[in-house]
Amino acid sequence: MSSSLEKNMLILRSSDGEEFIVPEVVAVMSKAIKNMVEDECASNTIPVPNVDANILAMVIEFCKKHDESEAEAASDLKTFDSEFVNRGQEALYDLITAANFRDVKELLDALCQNVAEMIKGKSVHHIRIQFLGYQLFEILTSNFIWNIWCDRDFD
Amino acid sequence: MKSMNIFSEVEDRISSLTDDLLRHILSFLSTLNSVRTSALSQRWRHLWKSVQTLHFDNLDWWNCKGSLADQILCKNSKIISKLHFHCTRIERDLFRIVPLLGRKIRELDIDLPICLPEDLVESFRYCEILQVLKIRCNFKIYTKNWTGFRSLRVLHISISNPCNVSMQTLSRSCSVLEELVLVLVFDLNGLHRLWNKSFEIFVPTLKRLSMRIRHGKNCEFDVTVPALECLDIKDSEFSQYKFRDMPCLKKAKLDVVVSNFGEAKNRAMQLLCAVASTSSLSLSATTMCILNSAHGVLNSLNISNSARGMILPSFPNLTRLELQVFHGFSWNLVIEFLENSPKLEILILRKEAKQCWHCLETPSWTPKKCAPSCLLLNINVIEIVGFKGGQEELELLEYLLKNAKMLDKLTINSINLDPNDAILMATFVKVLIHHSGYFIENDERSYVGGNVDVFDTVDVDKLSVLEINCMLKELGVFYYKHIFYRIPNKNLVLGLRVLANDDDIREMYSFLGNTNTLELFIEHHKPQNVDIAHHVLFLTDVPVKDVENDGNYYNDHYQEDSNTGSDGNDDPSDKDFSDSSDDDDDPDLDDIKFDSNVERDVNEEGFKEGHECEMNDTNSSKDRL
Repeated sequence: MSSSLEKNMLILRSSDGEEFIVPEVVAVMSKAIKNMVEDECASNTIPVPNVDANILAMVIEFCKKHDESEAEAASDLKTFDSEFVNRGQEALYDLITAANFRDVKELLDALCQNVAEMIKGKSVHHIRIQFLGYQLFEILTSNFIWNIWCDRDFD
Repeated sequence: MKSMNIFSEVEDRISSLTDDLLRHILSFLSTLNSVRTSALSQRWRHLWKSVQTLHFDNLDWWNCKGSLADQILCKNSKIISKLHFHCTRIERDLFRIVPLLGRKIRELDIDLPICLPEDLVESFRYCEILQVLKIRCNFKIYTKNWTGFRSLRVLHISISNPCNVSMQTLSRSCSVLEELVLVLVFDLNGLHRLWNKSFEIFVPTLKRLSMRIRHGKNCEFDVTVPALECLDIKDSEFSQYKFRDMPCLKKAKLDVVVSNFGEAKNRAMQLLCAVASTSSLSLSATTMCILNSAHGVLNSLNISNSARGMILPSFPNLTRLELQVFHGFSWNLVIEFLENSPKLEILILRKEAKQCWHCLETPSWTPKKCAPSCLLLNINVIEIVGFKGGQEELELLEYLLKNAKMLDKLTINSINLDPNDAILMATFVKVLIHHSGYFIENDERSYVGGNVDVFDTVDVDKLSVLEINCMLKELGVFYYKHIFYRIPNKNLVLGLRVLANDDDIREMYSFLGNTNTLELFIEHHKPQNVDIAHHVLFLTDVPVKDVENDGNYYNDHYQEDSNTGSDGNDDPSDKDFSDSSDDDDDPDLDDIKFDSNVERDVNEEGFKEGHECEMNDTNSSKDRL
């Protein structure tokens, strides 16, 4: 079965067993996979543990787009990036973990940038509600002075 | 909705990330924002200290001046890999960053409205492993003890009124440079416009070069960059370029403007020949205009077809060609481009909405019998933007479709919208200028005592700081301190922003939305409309008035800081100074004198006084008298 594949295609298997066939140029955008390919320790099927099919599909989508549009205008890519990272919190953190784990620098930067945008300009109170959920009480007691200082409205 | 979240337990996903990832996220925030997160929880408390990026924005820096800034700086980790320092006003605290420079900085990004003072430039020598340097303020190379950057890879720099010596020093001092963005700004009305200037740029390792030349009359550039891959030239007065061989060139983008077509044709040809080996070429409408007129002359002389074909060099490697065309454009030129580029695969034509003033009549177009070979064999993507369906446009389309046998994809878009600035839809805006008044800070800020003038149809594309300066001169406003704009539908307290450079203008557009009115407020040095010559702000020992005024402007937001900014308003030396300069009513004469003393940025006349000047201010006023 694997011999019938073209030479420059790789199969990535997600943690829940789903397989994705991707061109090698796309797959090696992940440094981790690149290392595996270079060391020739990878057969045609590369297991991608810790990353489920859903997230893996997103990562591949991102890599494909970046690979294709290398020659195209950078602004197109930017709009794609900003739309791509605009997801719910759940998916966002899974993606960050996956991008970090597979070492995809462009994706990681785009995602972290997005989280940073969400933090930017918000008061501590809002950040807590948005990101940390239910930890209000504990922090109030421990960091009282910092709070006063930080909660000043800077803009 | 949001308040509900307090009670429903949201899973704390962000804390499940590792510290490294959180630090990475924080590195995208400005430093003050990232310090704020220390209040989030125990875990976040010390996280910001190990972030290796310091990013000070305008207000941030101002806010945390004094002890707070010091606290941040000394608490932060000892190694700083990136330092961003952006600010649109003059800061006395600038020298605070000097001790930071010794901390193994890899990336330095400075954006200031003034010329960088010599001391600061000198202290760059501490940055031994600096790899990226972006300076978006006036930079002067003090050749005396310039050591250069041994490991610098990326350099973005702007220099006003450069001299050849400094350019040579610059290019010699960077031995492994790969990317260079060079912004050269010349004075519009200095003496130096009279003579020729020649510059040598020699960087053997350079891969990407982008040159932005403004008002560079009589300039000549001798560029030796054998390893260049990307070239981007934008020149407001087409200078002469001499490029040595660039065998690796992949991308070239040319945008030149001329007033005198006679010489320009030769220069354009010379430039095109230099970039002929590129695989991707993009020419702006103004550049095409030059070529078109050259073509037109040959046409009218009735030179035979074979001779006419000689006008363009051949592009043996060209695969992607982007041309901006305009009304009254001769399609023969496009066909000629096609004939000279046998490997072309992608053709993009963008039609400008505006008529080119040099070609009023539409030349008749008779397609040749045999189509260019690349059209028949290679071209597979054609993109056409801005065609409105005119007769000659349809003719061209018909011709292309008939002959492009290998065409895979044809895109036709009738709206010419540059993806970079999608706001250009509203081409004409109304500009309201409030001037000759002053701001009053009560509960609300208001602008009183001035006049309001309206410019009805202002072309958004052409609006620049320079243009605004011209408008102001029309209104009799020659000197001002700052221009502010108001974000539509916001009041003066929240919606007022400084407009200092063309980036600000771009930002202003982004607020424009559906409205088509821009509102500008001019802040003067004095409440009345009095001409005030340049006074000296920076690097003086004597406290000077305007720095304090800058501060006061924000004071109603930041009450807690007002104590620090209350000296010098009644400084006698300052009064003397402005009185003496009132006599000085000949701006031209003054300019020349001024030029001989200080370098000045043309575009930001508002900051005339802001440019560095090592003299004491009382000295300089004596000088002038």
